[in-house]
Amino acid sequence: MISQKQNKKQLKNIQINLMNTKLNHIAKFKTFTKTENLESIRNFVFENSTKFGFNDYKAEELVLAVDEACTNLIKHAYKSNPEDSIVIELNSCENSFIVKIIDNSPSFDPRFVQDPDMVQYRNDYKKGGLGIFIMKSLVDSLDYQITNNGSIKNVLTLTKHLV
Amino acid sequence: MNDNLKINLVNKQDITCFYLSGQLDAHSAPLLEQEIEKSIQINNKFVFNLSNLDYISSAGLGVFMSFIQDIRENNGDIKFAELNERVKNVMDLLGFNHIYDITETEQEAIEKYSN
Repeated sequence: MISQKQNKKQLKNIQINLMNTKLNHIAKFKTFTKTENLESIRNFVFENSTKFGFNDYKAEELVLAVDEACTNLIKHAYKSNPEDSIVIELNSCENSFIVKIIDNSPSFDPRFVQDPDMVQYRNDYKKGGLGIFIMKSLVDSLDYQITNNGSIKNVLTLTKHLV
Repeated sequence: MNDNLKINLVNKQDITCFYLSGQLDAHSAPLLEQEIEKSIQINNKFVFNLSNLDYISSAGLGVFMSFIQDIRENNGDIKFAELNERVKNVMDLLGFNHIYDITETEQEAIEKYSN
């Protein structure tokens, strides 16, 4: 009986822990939405993700995913208005590396973009539209939220696990 | 402005070889676009030697996609050679090997034009 009680208690604790999972803040980078800043965004993500424990190959996958997300924002959401800024926030949670890309452009939820038919794509020699596909392919999960703390912000979250 | 990509062109017989070094992303893609635009006025057979290209994103790949149809309609082609692993991984992810000839060496790519 006692052990069952303990089990229940432990289980409850685990659930509470999961709900209150605190993200460990790693680093934050704010820059203007100009394509010339993509390189520093990539360096920022690469340095911190390799420090976290990713090998170069995995870190480069994450770097490309973040590049694609930021390129989309710069090219489409902001229409390349260099006055706007973008924030890249890096966090970790156990063996997960979590990249939050925060901006205040008009909302666009990439989760609902259908994957392209690659055969059709190649036959038609299409030029663009692959960024979101690449992004989804290279991370373990992708989440999108709109927050409103005084001003409306989009938060795109890319998560990649160490193993 | 576009200092993260260097482009050199060398004509070898009737083939124009592009040597790209640095990073081909949304920032440098317009520069490459301009160079290809100029080159297709005089030639339609291209080899891209990518041995010194460290990085490519979909914006860079999009440049090739935007020209390939016109080039092929004029009996020309774009072939890639000497990709480093990083660039090759991205091209594989998108199945570029199904669209383009990708060879180990530049010489192989050039020879494919005479086959």
